[in-house]
Amino acid sequence: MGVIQTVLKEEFDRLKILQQRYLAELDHFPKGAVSKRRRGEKFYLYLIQRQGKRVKTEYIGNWDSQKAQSVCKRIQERKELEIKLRQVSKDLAELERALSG
Amino acid sequence: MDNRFVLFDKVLHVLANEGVLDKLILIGGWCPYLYRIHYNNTPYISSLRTMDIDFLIPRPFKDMAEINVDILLTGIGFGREYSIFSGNIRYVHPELEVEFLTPEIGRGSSEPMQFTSLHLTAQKMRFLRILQQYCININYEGLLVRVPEPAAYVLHKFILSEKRENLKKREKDLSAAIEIGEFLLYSESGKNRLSSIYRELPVKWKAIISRVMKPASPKLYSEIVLSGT
Repeated sequence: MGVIQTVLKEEFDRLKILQQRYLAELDHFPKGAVSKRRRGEKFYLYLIQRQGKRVKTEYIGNWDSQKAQSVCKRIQERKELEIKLRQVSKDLAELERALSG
Repeated sequence: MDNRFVLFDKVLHVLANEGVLDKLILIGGWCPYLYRIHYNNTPYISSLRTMDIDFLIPRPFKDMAEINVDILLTGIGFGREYSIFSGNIRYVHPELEVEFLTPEIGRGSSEPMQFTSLHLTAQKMRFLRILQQYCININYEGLLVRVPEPAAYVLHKFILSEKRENLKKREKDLSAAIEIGEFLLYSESGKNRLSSIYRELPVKWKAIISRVMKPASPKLYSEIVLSGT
């Protein structure tokens, strides 16, 4: 195996492990999207999740509450992780092509 | 084994045997490779490496017995490449290149810096002080290699990316900075080091980091810049 192939293979193996890690990490984050809704003068946070064919809306709490902020943060972190996972998967596909070609 | 590794090891060994390695700091594209080893082969840090090995010669440089590094490198197969325009000398090999850099201090000049006791010339560059100031030793194949602290490396990369004219290099700097920086955020100690080194930097350097980091990594920006103000 040539120098470039060796480096690419090493990077491929690293990204495979990273992909598994990201997938495992994603399990620890809440799924779905958050919705901020107004009731009277106040804002409230809801977590919207798909469960099979149904869409479930869960009340989280007052927008200013610690719980609501924490859920928002976790959803944001999940989105960032999903972006990273997409990038890793894209890089893996490219490397796979380079290694097989 | 990748030929570059063999040669990389050879360079480190030849410098270590003559007592020069501990006077130098390994900077540039090979640092992430050593950081990976330092963090137990974490997959969060890329395994890709560059063609060139950059060594930083700290300033002020402590006097030492005369050692001809030029002869050491040419002795293991490197050729000397001299730039007529800049006066810099690089050591080239089909697999790797070795270059010596040193921090630019004061008003600066275009001339490279001479280190007579090492028989070397080094290219002067701004912003290298941060890499010289915050260092750690990493055990690599039985050798202690001095490298910048990962947090200092990350902050320096953010600064450097703004100064780059080459877009590809700029992107590479940024992605290395984000990759290692966000990895450091996983641990409390990594996060603290990033914050404390950032706080100690000159105001102008902090302004550059803040400007570059904000759009490139909102996560790092909120943890390092916003929490530090």
